[in-house]
Parts: sequence; structure tokens; C-alpha cells
Amino acid sequence: MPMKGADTMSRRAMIASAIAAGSVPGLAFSKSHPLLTVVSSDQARQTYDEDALEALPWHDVVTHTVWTEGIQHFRGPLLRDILLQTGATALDLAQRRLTLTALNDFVVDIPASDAFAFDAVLARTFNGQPMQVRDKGPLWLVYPRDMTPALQTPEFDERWVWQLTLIEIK
Amino acid sequence: MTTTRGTRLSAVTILAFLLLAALSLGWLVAIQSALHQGLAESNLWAASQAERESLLFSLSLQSDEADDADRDLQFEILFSRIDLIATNPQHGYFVAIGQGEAVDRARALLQLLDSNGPPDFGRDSAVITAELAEVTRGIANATYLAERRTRFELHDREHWATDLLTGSLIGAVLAGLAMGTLLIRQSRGLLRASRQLEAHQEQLERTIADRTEKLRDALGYERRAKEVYRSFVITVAHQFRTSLSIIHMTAQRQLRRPQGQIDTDMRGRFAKIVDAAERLERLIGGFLESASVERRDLEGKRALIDVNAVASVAVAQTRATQPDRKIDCDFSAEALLIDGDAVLLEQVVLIILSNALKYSRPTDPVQVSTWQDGTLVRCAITDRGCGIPEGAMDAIFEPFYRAPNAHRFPGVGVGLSLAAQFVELHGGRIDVTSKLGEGTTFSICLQGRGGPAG
Repeated sequence: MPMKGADTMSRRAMIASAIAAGSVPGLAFSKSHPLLTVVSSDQARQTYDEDALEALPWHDVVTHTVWTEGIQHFRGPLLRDILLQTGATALDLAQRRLTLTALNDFVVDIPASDAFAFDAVLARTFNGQPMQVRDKGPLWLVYPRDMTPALQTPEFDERWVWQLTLIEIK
Repeated sequence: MTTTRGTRLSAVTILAFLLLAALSLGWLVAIQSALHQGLAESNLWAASQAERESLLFSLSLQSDEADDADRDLQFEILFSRIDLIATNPQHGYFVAIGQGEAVDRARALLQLLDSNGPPDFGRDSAVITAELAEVTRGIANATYLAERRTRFELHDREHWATDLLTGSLIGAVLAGLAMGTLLIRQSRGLLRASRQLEAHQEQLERTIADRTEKLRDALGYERRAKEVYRSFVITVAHQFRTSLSIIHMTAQRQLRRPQGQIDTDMRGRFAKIVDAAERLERLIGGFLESASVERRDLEGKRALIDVNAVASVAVAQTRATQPDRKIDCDFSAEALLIDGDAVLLEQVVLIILSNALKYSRPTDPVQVSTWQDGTLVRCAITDRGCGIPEGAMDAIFEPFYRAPNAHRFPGVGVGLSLAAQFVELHGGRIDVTSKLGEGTTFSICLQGRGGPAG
């Protein structure tokens, strides 16, 4: 069972920062509340709120998942666009790994090359609806599973982190 | 063939075992895949996460430090967790392991909490959350046990499939060994059989060569015999003609005598004799002509015969025709057995005996003697006649040859050649010793019974 990493940003800290940013109770996150934090290899932080995410080009992933029934429609920015925003090059990122942390402290380690090899998307909407925390939001890392047989393995299924809040490039 | 059937049986057995191996391998792969998929495992993770978030939410409700936003976020996370196990395909799994009601209860409790708050969760939220934690713990527990059961089951099946695979492979190998042994034995048998066949063939070839040789001998013998008989018949005919000529000549001479020297009645009789003689001469002439062209089907007959008996018959016949001649016999006291043709050998003795009488003075006796000479049997005819000139010795057995001093005697020169052929046919020979004016000895020399084959 994944444990809370010593250097990962804890949920409590995230919540504290959300309060500091003046989030509105009753909604999961306000428009200006940071949904995602990206820590680059030189420890530089980038945060993305709703607007920042919307500013990026979004892509569709239409696929089955192991946790749902039927075909699902996801939409959001590409993982590689987020990574390239840090200023890192694709060549540099090819050697790196990403530590993905969810709101519930679930942590998964994946190769950064996934972002370039498979068009992985940080889905913000699920069947047209923005995802709330209660339905695995605000972000869910999805792979075009149906299109690529190589992705239809338990190994890749584990990488579909939902309630994603933090990406650390290592 | 039993070996072929055995081989076929082995092949079928191997195939069956290999099929079984393939089948068990297929099962094994399916089991491995099921283990790898770890579906139950991810359900266990989901259930335990639901329990964990229930407890965390419960803590946040009791904690003074936690504010509304904190509780709110924690509730949202809890919501997502309960929602996960309450939707398919996860829900289907929990129903299958008998936790359907528990999951439904958890969802109902969650909805109750949701309707109570947020942000201001009611006073009974703590009680509801406590029950939710209890329910989710039960689900997690049941999932763990079910997952373990499944795992054991898969392991058992894996063991079973592995055993089956091992067994069928061992079986296939054993059957392969059995088939190999059978094949080796079969090929050895074939080799042995082919060797025997070869030996048999060689034996057969030898036998054929043997038989062919014997057949060739027999054929040669038969040809010679035919030739000899033909010559014999011709000889007899010639001899007959000689005598006939004398009769003819004598009768003619009587007819030529002047009228009155012979009466009419006698003349008529001599004329009849001349007629008859001429008819006979024509007949013999015709016969000789045809005999020289045709090959009469004559053959020698071999039997166990006594040379004493042969000589006796010949002497008796000669005495009957020439009763006034003296023939002395000196025969062996014991039987002189040989393999031969009595009729032919009688002719031989007759020919030589008649020659002996012909070429000696009427008052001189002729001696016939027989004796055993080692493995040989001899029959010698000795006369005190004119003898054979030295230069004629080699030629006397050639057909139609007549020695220079023989011309005053009647004959055509076929007798001795015929006799020599008859004796040769028996594998024997005729030795001749002669001295001019003193006499001649013809010694018929034949292979005795039991001696080397002639």
C-alpha cells in the first residue's frame, strides 16, 4: 500500500494553501484555486488553476477503463504539454521519471516517456462534465487504452492516477 | 504386422500426451493471466481505501483542528471511494462475493451524510460515519478473504495443471522411448530378414547354377546318344546292304549263266531273288537317305548292368549267326556292375566281335574276356587276324575309315566309330593293341559302379 512520501506535498498542506488562496466552501475548488502543482527537476514549482489548464490545448480520449463500464469520454490537456511548460525538453524528459501524488496520498511512479509515447491526457472532464473530487477529479491521468493494446495491462492500469494534484519530475 | 501396430499405438499415445500437455499449458497460461490481472487485488485495494477514508473522515469530524474545508475535502474523497465500490464493475464483484448488501448500505450511509452536510455535517454524522467505517471494514475483510480464496484456488489449479503438464510430458517421453525401441527392433528384424533373404538368394543361385550344369550335361549326353543311335542305325543298314549286295550279285550271276546251265524253274526263282533284293536295296537306300537327314529320336538308358551278361549276350548272338566259328570266353567270376545301357554295350561287343571274326582266318579262334581292373571294368576281344597297320591306329575309330588291309573284306567303316561313340557315351574308352599279321586286342574299358562319375 503506497505510503505518504516524505518529500511529497501532503494533502493537509495543499488544503492550507487552498484556504490561503481563498477557496469558497461548498465547491470542491474555486476557479482560481490551484488544481495541479508541477515540481520540475530543479525544484521550480508551477501551479495550474482552472484558467491555466483551460489555456492549454485540450485533447479527447475515448476509451474503456478498468474501473468503469462502457466507453468513457475524457477531455483535458496533454501530460506532455504540462511537462514541456516547465521548460524541460522532450530529450531531457525521456530519461526522467514522474512521481504522481493524489489527494488521498496515493503515489505512483511512472516514466516521463509515457507522456510522449502514448498521448496521455490529464482529463479534466468526464463525459462532458468537469470532475469533482467525489467523481475522481479534479484531474485523472488517462491513457488512450482502447487504441493501444500495449496499454491494456495491469502495469499500465495502475498508472491511471485520479484526484491527481502533484507531479514531481525526477 | 504387430510392430507397425505397436508403432502406430505409440505415435497415438505420444500425440495424446502432447495434446494433454498443450491443454494443460493453455490452462496454466490462463491461470497465470488471471493471477497477473489481479482484479480481485484491485477490488481489495478499493475496499480498503474506502475503509481508510471512512476512518479519516471520522477523525476529521472529531478533530478540533480540522475546519469545514478540511472536512469537506475529506468527505469528497470518501465519497469518491464509496462511489467507486458502489459502481460497476466493482459493485458486481462485491455482489458476487456476498457483499452486495454491505456496499448498498455503505452507499445509503454516504447519501445520508451527503444530505446532512456539507459543510455543516449534522450531529449524528459521527454515528453514521462510525457505522460506515464498520461496514467498509467488513467489506474490506470479506474482500481480503475472497481474494485469498481465489488465490489459493488459482494456485491449486496451477499445481494441478503443472502436474498434468509434467505427467503428460513424461508420458510423451516414455511413449517416445517405447516407439524408438520398437522402431530399432523393427529395423533390426528387417535387417536380419534381408540378410537371410540374401543368403537364401545366394543358395538359390548356386542351386540354379548346379542344376543348369547338370542339365547341360544331360542335354549333351542325350545329343551324343541320339547321334550314336543314328549312326548305329545307319551302320546296321549298311551292313545289311552289304549282305544284300552279295545275295543280289549271286542271284544275278546265276541269271547270267547261259541257257541250259540252269533250268527255267531255277531261273524264275533267281529272278524273284534279284527282284526282292533290288526292292530291298531300294528300301534300304531310301531309309539311309532319310536317316542321314532325319535325326531319329533315340536315347541311351542307364541302369545297373553286369558287363559279363552283356558280353554273354553278344557272344551268344554271334555264335547263333556264325556257328562254325570258335569263340573262347574267359569271364570274371564276379558280377562286373556298371551304370550303362545294356543294348548299346551289347552292340559294342557285337561290332568288335564281328570285326575280330571278319579279319581273322575262319579256323582261328577269338577270345572274349572280362575282368575287374581297379575301379574299371574291362571287356577284351582278342583275335589272331591280320592286325592293324601302325599308321591306321589313330583313324580306325573315325566314321567310314577303313584300314588299307581291310578293303578285301566287306564293310563300310562305321562299326568301330559307332562302338567308340557308345563307349564314350558311358564315359569309357576302347584301348587297342595290335601287331600286323599276329592279331589285335580291343579292350572296352568302363567305369565300375561306385567309382568316380564318368
